[in-house]
Amino acid sequence: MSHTSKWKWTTILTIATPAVLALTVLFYVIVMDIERQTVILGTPDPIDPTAQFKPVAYVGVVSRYPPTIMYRGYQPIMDYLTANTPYRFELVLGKDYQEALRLLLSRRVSAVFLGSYQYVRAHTEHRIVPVLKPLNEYRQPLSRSVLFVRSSSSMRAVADLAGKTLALPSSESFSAHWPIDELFAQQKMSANDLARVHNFAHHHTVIAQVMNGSFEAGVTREYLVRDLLGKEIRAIAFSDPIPSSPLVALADHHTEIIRAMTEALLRVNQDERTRLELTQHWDAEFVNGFVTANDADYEIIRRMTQPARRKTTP
Amino acid sequence: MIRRAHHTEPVFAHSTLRARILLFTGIVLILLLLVISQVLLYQWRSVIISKQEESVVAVSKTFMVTVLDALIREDQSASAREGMLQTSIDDFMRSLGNVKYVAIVDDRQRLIAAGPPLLADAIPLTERPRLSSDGLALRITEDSTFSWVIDVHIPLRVARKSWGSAVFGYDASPIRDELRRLFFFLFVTTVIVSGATLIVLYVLASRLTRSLNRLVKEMDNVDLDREVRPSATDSGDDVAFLFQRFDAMQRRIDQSRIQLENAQRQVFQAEKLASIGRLASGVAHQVNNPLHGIRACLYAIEKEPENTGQTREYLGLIGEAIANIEAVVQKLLGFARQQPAQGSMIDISASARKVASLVDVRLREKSVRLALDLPEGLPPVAIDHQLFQEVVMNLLLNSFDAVGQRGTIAVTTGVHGADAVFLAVRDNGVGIQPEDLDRIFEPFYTTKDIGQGTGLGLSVSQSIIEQHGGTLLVQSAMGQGSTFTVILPRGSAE
Repeated sequence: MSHTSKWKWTTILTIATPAVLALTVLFYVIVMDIERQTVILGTPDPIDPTAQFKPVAYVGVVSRYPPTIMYRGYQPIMDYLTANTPYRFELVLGKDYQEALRLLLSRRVSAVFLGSYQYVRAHTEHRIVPVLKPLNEYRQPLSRSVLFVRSSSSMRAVADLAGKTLALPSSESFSAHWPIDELFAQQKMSANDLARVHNFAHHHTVIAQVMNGSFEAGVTREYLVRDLLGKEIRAIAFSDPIPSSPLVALADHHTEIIRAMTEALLRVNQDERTRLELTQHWDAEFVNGFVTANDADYEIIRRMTQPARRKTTP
Repeated sequence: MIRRAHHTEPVFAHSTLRARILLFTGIVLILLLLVISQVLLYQWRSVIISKQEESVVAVSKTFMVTVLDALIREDQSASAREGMLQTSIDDFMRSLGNVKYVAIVDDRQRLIAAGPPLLADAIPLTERPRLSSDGLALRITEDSTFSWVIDVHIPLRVARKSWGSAVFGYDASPIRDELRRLFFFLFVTTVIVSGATLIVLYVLASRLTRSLNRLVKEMDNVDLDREVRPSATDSGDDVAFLFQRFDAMQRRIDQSRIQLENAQRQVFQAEKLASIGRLASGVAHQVNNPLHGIRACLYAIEKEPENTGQTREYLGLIGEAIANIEAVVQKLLGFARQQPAQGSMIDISASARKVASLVDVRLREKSVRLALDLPEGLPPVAIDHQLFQEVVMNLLLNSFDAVGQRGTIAVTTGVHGADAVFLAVRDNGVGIQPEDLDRIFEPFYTTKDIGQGTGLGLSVSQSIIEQHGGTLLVQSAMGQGSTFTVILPRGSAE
């Protein structure tokens, strides 16, 4: 090796080695510095600052789901009412039918969302009236209950339920009474023919119990399983259409609030495009809007739900 | 004779080439590897951080439901106000293990619940006063109390109903641990790959430079006087191809050399004949005089054939005249011989003396005085005597052309330094124009009239002298004359 090349080697190595080491250290420092500035990953709806100055009106609902789920479905309705009435609407959850009814009767809430069967029962004992009832996707104020099984189930008819297990929602719901009081009677069956019948507090629990295989069949509201029908689950039978679950109020109380609520909610389905945008986060039961309700609409339920002998576990 | 080059330096600085290959390829390779590894590292880093962020956001959102449920229940039931949320937080922190802090604040930034409770004051809440009304926010920061944390801020809202916000601090050190492992993995990989590649490069460069070095040595060993070819390498690579092309080139050079030598011989002979032509008048005079004498003797013998005494005397004179003519012809034949003897050692003084005698008659035409200082006993010189005589003849005839009537030409020989001898031809002629001095050795360059010279004399003379390792110098001054000096190494023939 010539003197020149030796000099170049020495010089280049003298420069290159510390440079590579310095670069390595620099890279290490940069890589290990993971500090990141605040990143906003989502922006929720803005809060109306004027709402806090409005008088508060409370609306009750039977808590069929965990509180957060209930709020996700009902709070947008409260927000809509707050924005379109002189009142700030707040949701009050009743853990069951009795508590929801107590809230109304104690006048803590101005109105309460009840199930159809619950209303029929309450109406017989208290002076409450239906104010509004929601529309289904066919623009009719009707709903159905459905008896369903998993798609993989061998059951094809109601008679196949003999010896099987059945999950039902709260005994205070129409879906819990329809199979026992009407469906089984038509098939000359009774709850005693089943291996087990159990009432769960919430509809979504019934769906989950059937889906995870704990129960072989279940009954719930049709709109709750519409997206699953024909896929994970299969319908065995549907009830006749019944009046949809009403918003009820005391006959002579909070009339101004009830009137404001009624007017606002009846406007929901006046314009189709506005309705779709407005109700996209609402509970699925109410996305099609409302019509006015009266007690005569619920006579059919009174006829369908005759007492029957049942074998249930608490 | 063409001599081969002699090298005292290494025939081929192969290590420099190898060093360059290693250096530049190595630097490029290492830089490339560094860039690739860094790009990989940054991509990986982004994935690791994003994955961890997504994980903590998902966990936070899941727990947020529990928090919201607790808050809603506490809202709905005053009796459940205390304990439910704190219990949820404690359970959450205990179950996950990587949660450094959780803080639940209301819309006025008042702390509702926190974990761990003892460190509640240290939880960095006041740095984000506006975030309660904003969306889900996340940052990674180094905190003096909690070290590296992923700080997640989630507004506790459903639609437009707000309960405040939740702040989660997750341990970010696993990210740094993973990044550290990844960095050193890539660093070690880069070093190993670089080292392995440099070794491969070194081996390849060594093989290449070894072949090149061999080729260069073969080139240095080439003797153009001998037809010795380099033995071709059988490596089958570019170097072998180079060997083949070099061999082909050398064959072409050989052919060119032979052609050149033939051409040179022809030029030398032509110039020699030209010199003879320039001598012709003097030679004719030298031949004519004896012939006139012979004719006069023959005439006298015919007149008095019975005068035996006279006849005998005149026959003797005729014999001398014929001998003189034979001597002249012999000189000419000797000078005009085409195949010069090679490699002989000559005495330049003796050789110059012979040429001087040949041109002497010519010099007398213009009464030119020829002064000879040709000492005997000079060291012999390895040069063909015919070629040397041709050089001396050329120089003498050039001087003869340059001097006028009664001019002087001096021929001197002697020792030049320790290893050479010289011959100088000096005249007191017109001299050479300074602008011509640089061109007089060019072929076909002449200042003489057309037909008086070929323009090859000095060119051929210089070529002959240089081929024998000597030098031909010229000094001239206008009006004072010129001096041509031949310097030849003594005994330098191989």
